Amino acid sequence: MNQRLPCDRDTLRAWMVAYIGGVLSLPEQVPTDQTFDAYGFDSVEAVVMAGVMEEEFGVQVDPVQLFENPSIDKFVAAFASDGGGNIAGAEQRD
Amino acid sequence: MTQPAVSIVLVSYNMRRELPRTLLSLCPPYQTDIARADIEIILMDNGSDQPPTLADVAHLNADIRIVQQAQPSVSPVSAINHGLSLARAPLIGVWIDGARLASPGLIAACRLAATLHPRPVVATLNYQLGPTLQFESVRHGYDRQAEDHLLHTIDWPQAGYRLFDVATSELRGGPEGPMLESNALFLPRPLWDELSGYDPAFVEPGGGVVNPDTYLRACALPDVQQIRIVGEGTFHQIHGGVSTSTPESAMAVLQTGSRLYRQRRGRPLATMRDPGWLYDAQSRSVIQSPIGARA
Repeated sequence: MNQRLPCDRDTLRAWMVAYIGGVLSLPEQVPTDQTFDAYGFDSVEAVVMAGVMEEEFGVQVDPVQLFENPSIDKFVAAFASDGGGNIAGAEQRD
Repeated sequence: MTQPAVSIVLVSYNMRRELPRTLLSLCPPYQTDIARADIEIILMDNGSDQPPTLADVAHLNADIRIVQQAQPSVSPVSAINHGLSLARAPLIGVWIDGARLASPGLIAACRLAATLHPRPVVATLNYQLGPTLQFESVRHGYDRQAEDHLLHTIDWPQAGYRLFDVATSELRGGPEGPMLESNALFLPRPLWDELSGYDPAFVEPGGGVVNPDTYLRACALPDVQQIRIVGEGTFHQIHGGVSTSTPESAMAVLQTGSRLYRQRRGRPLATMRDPGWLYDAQSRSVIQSPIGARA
């Protein structure tokens, strides 16, 4: 995965919040700064989400990046089109 | 010919090492509290290079029917549905991976659990032999030889329940945790008919996520009750399958399956978070259920 997703941070954050909130049926807003496992979103569900992201956004999504950026905020920063994070590490992996 | 109480539809492909153990684990006397006449096993060979023969299973104490799938496929779906069409018992378990051993009381527990509700979806729990999930264990040298030794060290099959001592649960959250699939799913015949069996759209190798799809569709049928079996399980022997060989291949199968599932179903694949009833095989009772539903 060496490319950002074709959407800005707000859009990607909102998509992930809606997706994870739907999967977990959380009564409250998904905490974007907490790690996925802190609110029970496990690794299997993260890999499944990566597949759905590919369908939704039309680009390859490496699920490993969800483990290396294990919160909504971190993943958004790394892979939104206007994210400020560095994806060089991801590029080296590919 | 008397009607069995339980049919097991078991799919196998090139499992010369694993299949004999699996079949042994499904037959009395290893399987306890169930008689030979109570079980039929329909072994669907899905195009093995050296298909199993009746001579291979003649020593086993069960009614075993070996069927060569006429047009083998990389997906087990056609073989499963063919097997379902042949099954004669009122309760049918689909054993999608012929490399999985059963614990000794599994079939009796499923049979008893299925009597607790008129429309039961009986789900068994998945384990993998070895110190960690197998895609991780193989990185540290776990292979067929190591697994053979492991089974020897626990005196299997004489000590069947010691499988739990040398296996890793696929459910990180325990029996009541989120669950994606059950390797051995037992439904009454009418429920299999309502589902129309496994969905032939899942043509990819291994069926992709057809097993999660079937489990989720079964749990979504009207007025059914999911019942998870605690204290018994199925135990995966390593055999080079796509979802247990490496972390990369395991993730790729799930990720691709997730994408195809979204295309086919129009919604994301999701784990089953409602555990339903937990049926404890040892005490033969429901240990977690809605108020008033304890057996």
